[in-house]
Amino acid sequence: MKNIKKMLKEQACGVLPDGHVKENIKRELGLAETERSLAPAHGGEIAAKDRRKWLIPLIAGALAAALLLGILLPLFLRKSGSVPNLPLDNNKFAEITDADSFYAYGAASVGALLAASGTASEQALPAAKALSVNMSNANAAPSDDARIDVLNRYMSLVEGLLSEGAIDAENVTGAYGYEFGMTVTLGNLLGGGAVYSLYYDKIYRSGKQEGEEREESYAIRGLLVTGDAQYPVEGNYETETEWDEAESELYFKAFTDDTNLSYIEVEQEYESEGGDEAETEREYVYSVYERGALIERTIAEYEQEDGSLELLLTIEREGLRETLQFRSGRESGESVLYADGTIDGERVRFTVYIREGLYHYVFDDGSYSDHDRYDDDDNDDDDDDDRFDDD
Amino acid sequence: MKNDTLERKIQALQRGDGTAFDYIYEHTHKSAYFAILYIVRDKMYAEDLLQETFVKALRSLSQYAAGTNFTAWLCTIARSLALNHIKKYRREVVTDFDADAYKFGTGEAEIPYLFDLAARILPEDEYEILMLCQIAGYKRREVAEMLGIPIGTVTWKNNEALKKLKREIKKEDGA
Repeated sequence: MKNIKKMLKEQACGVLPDGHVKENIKRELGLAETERSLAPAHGGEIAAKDRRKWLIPLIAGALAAALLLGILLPLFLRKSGSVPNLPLDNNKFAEITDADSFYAYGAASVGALLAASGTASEQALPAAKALSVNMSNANAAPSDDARIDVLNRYMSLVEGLLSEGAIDAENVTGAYGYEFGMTVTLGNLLGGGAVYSLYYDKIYRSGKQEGEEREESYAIRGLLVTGDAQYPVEGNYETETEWDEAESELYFKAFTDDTNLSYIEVEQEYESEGGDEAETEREYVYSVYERGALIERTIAEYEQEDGSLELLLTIEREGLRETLQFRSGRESGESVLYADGTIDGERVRFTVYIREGLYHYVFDDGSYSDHDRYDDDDNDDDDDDDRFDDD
Repeated sequence: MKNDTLERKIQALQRGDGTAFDYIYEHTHKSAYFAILYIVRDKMYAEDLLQETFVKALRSLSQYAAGTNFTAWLCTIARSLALNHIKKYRREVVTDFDADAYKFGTGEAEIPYLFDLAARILPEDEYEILMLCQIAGYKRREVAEMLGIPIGTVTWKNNEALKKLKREIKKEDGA
């Protein structure tokens, strides 16, 4: 019988409230007054500018749905012959056992998202900003490249989590005024890896023992360096153990503007429960906030299928929920990622060929697209070779 | 710490800072929504009632005792509105409403079977905890704070709810 938790999660999109409810409430409360004033629609440039403030999140949501549907609905692949090859002991999450390893993972994974979502050379261009730029530029249908960009942001993280070998962390001397430092390497499927640096102060917050209950709490504040960009970060590592139950509350967030309202955060969800139905689950939840508003939420977790390891990404955005299951493999000597999942209940499949400097997406209708692959070793990737073929 | 932030945002909203709404909504709406859904079992009605709940609550924000538990206060309003909705339908429709409440929504708004099953077989507290932990994505610690109960109780009720669902499905599979 299928796992109840998974069944609930799979059906959640049919239950959770739609994004329009929030906007309706705002309108009714007069919190979207500028938009409401446009309702009589005499038009005018001033009114249109005001409306953008409220419409951008709506447009972003709607277009995000359109983007992913546009990319993936045509992808009803019937791909066969792929062989999963990642052994179970490659679960990177299993390596996260203490605060240091958690912060190393946070730096590597958030660094990968930040680097992939913007241009590493541009100071602090966050995923949130990159996303909203894509959306706001697209008054009509977004370009095909923009569609792939949405998906592409996650590929370096997927590669890192499905690559062989551990996430390497090495202690280095503190810098930028911080006492501690570490460099973290997130591997990729071509055998290389991207290097990120984290400089931080460690703050011991609390620790107490009450009977059988033990609590420890550490936090960090510091700076994440990805290429030429630097992001202020903070993190928390908190665990609690009571009898045979354990719970951790861990997060690592990198701020992407000066207000501290825009950031990318990764949180660990970890539950270990004893009893007859003992089970351990760990997943990492990535949240992208812009000006205090949650734009996107993505859950990364490993799954074991047929003795091999797969990565499950669940992406939630404005009422749309898609799940994509990735596994690595090889085709004609090339490293590939097979993606399989559902979007709004529709089955989708596609293949990503991983090549130096680019990802080659192949869809079921024969179309393909080449997109930049973030590579820390290449600081001048040629981004003029993107193309999209709908043939 | 998160409750402190929520309280600050509520105070900001009371002062007229509309930007605080997003935070308040994101951190409380799922709890209120599932309180409603448990009662009405219809997505469309639950969404309407969620909207009504927020509008009513935020328009009477002065009645909220600062520093208590905003989410619990919101859920009280939500339940009250949902029960009023049910009463209204009881008056208007002569049928076995208890057994088929979810059918009074539109066909498109029916909730998936597993969620309907959960609403039918679980007590309200277990249902709410299950939804908040498994669907809304809250940590057990956050759920404990929201509901004002110990984290151990959240864990226990969450596990109980899962076991009951599993048992029920097994029973139905075997039937």
